[in-house]
Amino acid sequence: MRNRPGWQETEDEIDWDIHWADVGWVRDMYDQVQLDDVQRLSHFKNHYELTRKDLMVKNLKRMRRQLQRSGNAEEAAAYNFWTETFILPNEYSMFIEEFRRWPDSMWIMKPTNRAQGRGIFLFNKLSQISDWKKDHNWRPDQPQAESYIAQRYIMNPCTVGGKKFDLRLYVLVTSFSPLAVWLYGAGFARFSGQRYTQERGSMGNVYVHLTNVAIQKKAEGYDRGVGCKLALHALKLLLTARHGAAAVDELFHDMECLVVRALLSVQAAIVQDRHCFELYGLDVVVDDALKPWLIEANASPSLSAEHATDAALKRQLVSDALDVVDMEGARDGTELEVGGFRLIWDSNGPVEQPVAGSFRTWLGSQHVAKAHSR
Amino acid sequence: MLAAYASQAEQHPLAAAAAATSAPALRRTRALRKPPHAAPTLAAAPHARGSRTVRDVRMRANVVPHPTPPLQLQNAAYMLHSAARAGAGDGCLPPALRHLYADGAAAAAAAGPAPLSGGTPKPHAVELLSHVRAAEEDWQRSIRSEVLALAQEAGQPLAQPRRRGSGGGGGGAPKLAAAAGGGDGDGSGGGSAGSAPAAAPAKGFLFDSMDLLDAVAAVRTPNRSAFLRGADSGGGGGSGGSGAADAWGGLVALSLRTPRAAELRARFVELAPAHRQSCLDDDDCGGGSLGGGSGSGGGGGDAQRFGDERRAAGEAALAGGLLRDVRRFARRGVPPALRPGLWRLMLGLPAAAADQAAAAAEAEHLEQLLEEVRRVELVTDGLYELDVLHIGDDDKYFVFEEVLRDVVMAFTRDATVPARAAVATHAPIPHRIAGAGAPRGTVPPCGVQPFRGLVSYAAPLCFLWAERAPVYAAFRAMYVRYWCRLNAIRSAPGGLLHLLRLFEDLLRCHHPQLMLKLAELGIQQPLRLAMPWIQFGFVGYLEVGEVLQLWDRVLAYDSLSLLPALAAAVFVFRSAAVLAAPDADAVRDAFADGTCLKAIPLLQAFLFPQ
Repeated sequence: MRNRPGWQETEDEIDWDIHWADVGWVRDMYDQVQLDDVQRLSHFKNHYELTRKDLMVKNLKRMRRQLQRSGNAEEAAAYNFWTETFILPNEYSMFIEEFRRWPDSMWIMKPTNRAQGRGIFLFNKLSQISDWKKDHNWRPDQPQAESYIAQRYIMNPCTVGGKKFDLRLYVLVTSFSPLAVWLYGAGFARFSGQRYTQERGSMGNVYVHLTNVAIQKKAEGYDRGVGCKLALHALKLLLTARHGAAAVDELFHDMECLVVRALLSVQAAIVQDRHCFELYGLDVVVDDALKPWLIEANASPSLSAEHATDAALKRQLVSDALDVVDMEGARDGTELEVGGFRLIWDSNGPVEQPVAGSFRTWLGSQHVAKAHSR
Repeated sequence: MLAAYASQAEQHPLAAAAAATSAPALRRTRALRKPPHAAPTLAAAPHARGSRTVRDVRMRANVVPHPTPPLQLQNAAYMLHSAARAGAGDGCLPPALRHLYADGAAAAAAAGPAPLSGGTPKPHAVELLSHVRAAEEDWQRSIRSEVLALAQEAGQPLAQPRRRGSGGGGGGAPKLAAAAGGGDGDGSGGGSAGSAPAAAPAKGFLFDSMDLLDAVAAVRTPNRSAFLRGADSGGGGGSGGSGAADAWGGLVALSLRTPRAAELRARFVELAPAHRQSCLDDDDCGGGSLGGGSGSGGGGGDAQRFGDERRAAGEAALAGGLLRDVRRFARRGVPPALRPGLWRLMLGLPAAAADQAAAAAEAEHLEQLLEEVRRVELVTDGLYELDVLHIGDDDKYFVFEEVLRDVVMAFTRDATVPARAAVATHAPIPHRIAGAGAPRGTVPPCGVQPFRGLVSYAAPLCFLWAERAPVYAAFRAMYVRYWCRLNAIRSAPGGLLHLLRLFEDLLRCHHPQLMLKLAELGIQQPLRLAMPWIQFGFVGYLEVGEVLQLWDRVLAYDSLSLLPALAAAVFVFRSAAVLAAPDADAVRDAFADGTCLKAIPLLQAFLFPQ
C-alpha cells in the first residue's frame, strides 16, 4: 500500500479511505461506524457465514435443498463438493447413524472457530472421541460451548512425489448482491512434509495429513528456505503430463464452478454493503480421481510470506486486489481482467472467459515473477 | 611360366575369350602380361572403336554382366531383410538381433550393454587434439586424486558392503533421519517401498562447474605464437582470478570453428517467428505473465485451432512411431500432455504399456540397481546425497526429493552407462570390493563422480512421469546422449569446448559493446556467469515449463547448440541493464533470477532479428 503513489498510512480510527481490517475490528466496530461514500472496508459484516466451517456447510446444504425443491435437480446434484459433515453437538445423533453405516471410513474432527489447524484430529472409532467428549464442553446447554464439525476424511487424495497437498485459491468479492466474483489466476499447493499413507498408525501424525503451513513449519526437516509450497502453474503442468489435458481442464473448471457455487450459497445470507469487499482464501483438496473438494474458506488469508516466490505472489495479489477495488478511479468499470484477477461472475451470471482455449479457465495459468531488486 | 599363366588364364574370363581365338602364343603372352585382376573398362573395350569380331562379342558378353560377388554384410537391417526373405519367422532371428526384440532383464543382461544405436560412431570418444587431451587428463587426474583423498580422510575403502544402519543418517541432518525412517520402514504404503537409504551428506563438493571452467581455461594451444599469447597476461592481470584470457577476450583459447548466425538460422529454421510454436502461440501454456493479459487475446479462436492441430499432429506422430516424424513435429514444441510419449520415442526407449509406465525391463533393472545401492556403499555416497539435498532447496523441485534420491543413487550403480555414453565423463577408478568373490568393478560403476548439479538433469523429468522407473530410463538416456558431453573436455563439434566457444563468439559478434562493458566492470568472462546455465540445461534458472520447452528442441534437433545460443540471448536481453550497471554486483543481480524469462521467444528474437 505504501508503494502506491498518493497514499499515506494513517492510524486514525475514523478518518481513512481504505481499511484493510482484521476480523476482530469488524466484529467490534462495524456497527458503530458510519462509512462515508468513498471509504472501503476489507470485510463484510457477517463474512463468518462463509468462513466458519459449520455455517458454510449449513448454507451449502440449504442451497442444495432449495434447488431440489424448486425442481432444478441437475444444479442441486452439482452441489456435491464437500464431504458429509455434521455439526456437533446438534447433529450428534445423525452423525452416529452415518458413522455406523460406513464402518471403515476415517473422520476428521475440526473446531469451528480456530484457524491454522489447531485442535484438529482424525478418528475412525467412536472410542477415540470418547476422551474428546469428556474434555470438551460441547453440550448445548453449556454457554461457552465450542462447536465442532465431524467430516468424512478424504482417504485417497491426489499425491505428488508421494506427498499429499491442498490448494489455496484466492477469490475477491466486490459485492454480494449483485454478486461480483473475481478469481485470481495464480495460487499454490501446500505440501505435507511426509509421504501420505493410509496406515492406521499414521492417524496421529499431523505431518502426514494436515497441510497447514503453521503445522508443517514445526515438522523436523522443514526447510525455512523453501517452505512447502509449489506454484499452481507448475502443478498444472505436472498434472497435464500425467493425466492429460482434458482431465486437468475438467478439474480446474470444476474448481472455478465450486468457487462460484459456494459464494452463491451464501449470497442471500451476507449483508450487502457497497463499502465492503473481501478477499477469501479457499482451501481445496483434490482426490485421485481429480475431483476437487472444498475444505474451507478463510476471510483473512495469510499475507505473510517466508520466501521470495511466496512474497512476490502475495504482494502482487494485494496490489491487484486494490486495483480491482479501484479507489483511484483508474478503471472504467467494464474490464474483465485486472492484473491477475478475472471476473468470473457478475450480475448477469457467468462471464465468458476472454480466451477460449483448450483450458476453459485461466486458473492456474498465471505466472508471478519475483520482483527485480532494481 | 606359361603354364602358370595358362592356369590363371583359365580362371580369368578375358583370358578365356583370348584363348578362344587362335592367336599365336606370343601374342597371347603379351596379352596376358596385364595384371589378371584388372577388369577392362568399357571405354577401352574394342567395341568402342566399332570392332565386331567374335572375340569382341564374346568379351563383351563376359564383361558386362558380372556375376554378383558373394557379399557378407553385418548390417542389422540387411540381416533382418535376408532372414525375412528366407521366410524365417520371429523365432529364427539371427542371435545378434535377438536382444533387440527380447523382453526381460535376463535378455538385456545376456546381450551385454546395448550399443547406443546399432554402433554409430562416437565422435567424442577419443580426443584428437593432443593439447586438449593433456588438459582433459589433468582434469581427470585431479578428480581422481580428490576422490582418493576423500577416501583417505574418511578412512574407508572406496567401496564396501553396506553395514546395517550405516545409511541411517549417522551425522546427517534430521531431515535425513525422518526420510530414512520413512523409507526403510514397511509402513509407507505409497509408491516406492524400500527407497534408497540416505547416506550422511558430505561437507562440500569435490568440484563444481567453476572448476570445470578453470580446466577449460587451462587448455593451451601450441599453435599460437608466444607473442599473441603474451597479450593475455596484460589483459588478464587486471581482474583477479579469472585465469588467462585469450587475446580476443574469450575464455576458450582454441580457435574452433563455430557456426555463424546464418548457419544457425538455417539449421534451426523451425524456430523462426514465422512458424507458430506449441506452448507459445497456442492456448496450452496460458501466457499469463506478470500483469496478465497475453497477446493471444485477439486471436482466441486461432490459438485454439492451432492447439488442436498440434495435438492431432502430435498424436499421429506418436502413433506412427517414426523417429524422423516425431523429431520434425517436436521442433515446434510439444503439447505438455503428449510429452511423456514423444520423449520416450525420441530417446529411443522401448515401448511401454502406457505413457506413464516404463518397460518391464527398465523397471526390473531399476530394482536391481536399488538393490545394489543397498548392498554396497561408496565413499562418495555422501556427495550424491548432498546434491539431492540441494535440489530440495529449490521451490520447484522440492516435492520430488525422494524420487530424485532413488534415481540418482541407482544411476551411480549403473554399469551400462560408460559403454553407452557418447563420451566418458570421468575416468573410472578400478576397485575390488573387500570380500571373497566380489567382482572387480570401478568406482563408481557409472563412471560419473559426484558433482553439484547432477540431480538437476533428472529434476524436470519428474514433471513428466509419476513413477521412478520411467524417470530413471529417460534420465539415463538423456545423460548418455547429451549431458555427458557437457561434463568432459572435448573439442569436436558438439563437445564442451565447441559449445562454450559458440557462446562467446555469438556474444562477441552480436553485441561487442556488452563484452567491453563487462570487461570494464571487472567481469572478464561472461562465461563465468553463463556456465551453470549451459552445463545444466538451464535447470534451476528458468521455470520448469520453459526448461521443458527448451529440452523439447534439444531432443528434436539432437543438438546442444541451443543452450549457448539461449545463454547469449539472455545476455543480449539484459544488455540494457548491464550497460547501465554501476558495478559488477549490479550485473550479477540482473542475471540472478531467470524465472520471468521465456526461453523460446528469446531464442527467436536472438536468432531471427527483424
